[in-house]
Amino acid sequence: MTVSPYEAGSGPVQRSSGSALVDVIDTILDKGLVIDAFVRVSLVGIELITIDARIVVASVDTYLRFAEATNRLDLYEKGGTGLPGLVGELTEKGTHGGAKGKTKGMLDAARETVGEVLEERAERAEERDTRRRAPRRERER
Amino acid sequence: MTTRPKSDAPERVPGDMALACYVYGVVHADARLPEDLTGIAGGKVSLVRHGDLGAAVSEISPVQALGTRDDLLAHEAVVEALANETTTLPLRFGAVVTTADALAEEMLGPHADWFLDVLDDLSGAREFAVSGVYVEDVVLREVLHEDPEAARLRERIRELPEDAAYYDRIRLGELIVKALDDKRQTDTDELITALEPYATAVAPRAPAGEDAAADAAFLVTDRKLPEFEQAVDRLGERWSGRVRLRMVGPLAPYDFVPPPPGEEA
Repeated sequence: MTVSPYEAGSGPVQRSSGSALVDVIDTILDKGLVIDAFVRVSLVGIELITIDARIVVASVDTYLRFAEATNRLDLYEKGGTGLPGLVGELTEKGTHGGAKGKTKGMLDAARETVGEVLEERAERAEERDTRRRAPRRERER
Repeated sequence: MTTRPKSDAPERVPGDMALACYVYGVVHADARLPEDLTGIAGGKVSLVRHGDLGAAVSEISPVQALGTRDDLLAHEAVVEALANETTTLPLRFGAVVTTADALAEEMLGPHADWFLDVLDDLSGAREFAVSGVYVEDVVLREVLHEDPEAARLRERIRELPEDAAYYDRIRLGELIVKALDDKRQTDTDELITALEPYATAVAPRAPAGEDAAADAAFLVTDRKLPEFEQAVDRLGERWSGRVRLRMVGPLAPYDFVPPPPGEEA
């Protein structure tokens, strides 16, 4: 049950009712009443494997995030364009297509990030080439 | 001393071992459990009562380790269901005792006054955790804009081959981490200042991860909840594009359980 009248992601604030484990795992493992403070005689020492649980929950969350991100890509991918082509297409769709403002923002951000990475890679490759071709020449500026 | 002491020999785990009792939370004795509530490993959740108090429990095997995804989800589902019905003092995951009767005798009975006081304090309120995560690009540009040394280092690094700028890159990263720590402090203060007027209590939380901007738990009464949510939305709008705000709840008041009797600060 959720008190919030909003759908997750519709407003400026993301909401979760607490049923998503990733949102509450640290809370239920680190907070709350500790039974040992009240019960000594009848305490049953049971093995807790919560360190594993944290890792598993964290990875499941990561997997889901990547799966979701990939899914979004699939929506826009048409024909086997390379990554630069794909980035261009994403931008175009984001700006002129029927996509909502929010999507546009996300795509712009994605374009910037991917764009920067590609640019940097190209720069690095260029640098390497320069160094290979003219190893003794100092690069200036 | 080669002979084994006799007393050790017969202590074998019996095939049909007695079940143990998993504890989810403490409530008032008149609390009503949702129908057919199941807990860890599918055990039926019931309420054990002692005087004015009750505790939600279910039977589990005492030899099975706890902590799978299903276990954690079951714990959270039971506590959430309880908290939706009544004021609930949640137990930390993994509380197991021998029997429900022993729990009533050793926990609820001797500490009844303490439990009743705490339940009274938390009455009618639930927890909401509000946390913010930085939009990395935006906040990094902010740091470069505000810190001339960082900006200068970045320019230098861009002009040098990767291996030549090793120490500069370390220094730049160090400056950014420090700048983010400062920002986190400022933004946590801002989060608390913005939402505190609508909460009964505030519990700051340790930031989880390098991109954490702010994190705190708020105890909010049902009456104040609409105002609280509006304040969260206002903050979310103000921070939009720079910090992604997330609100989790309603939760049982995990962050507002006081230290146990005899351990008060």
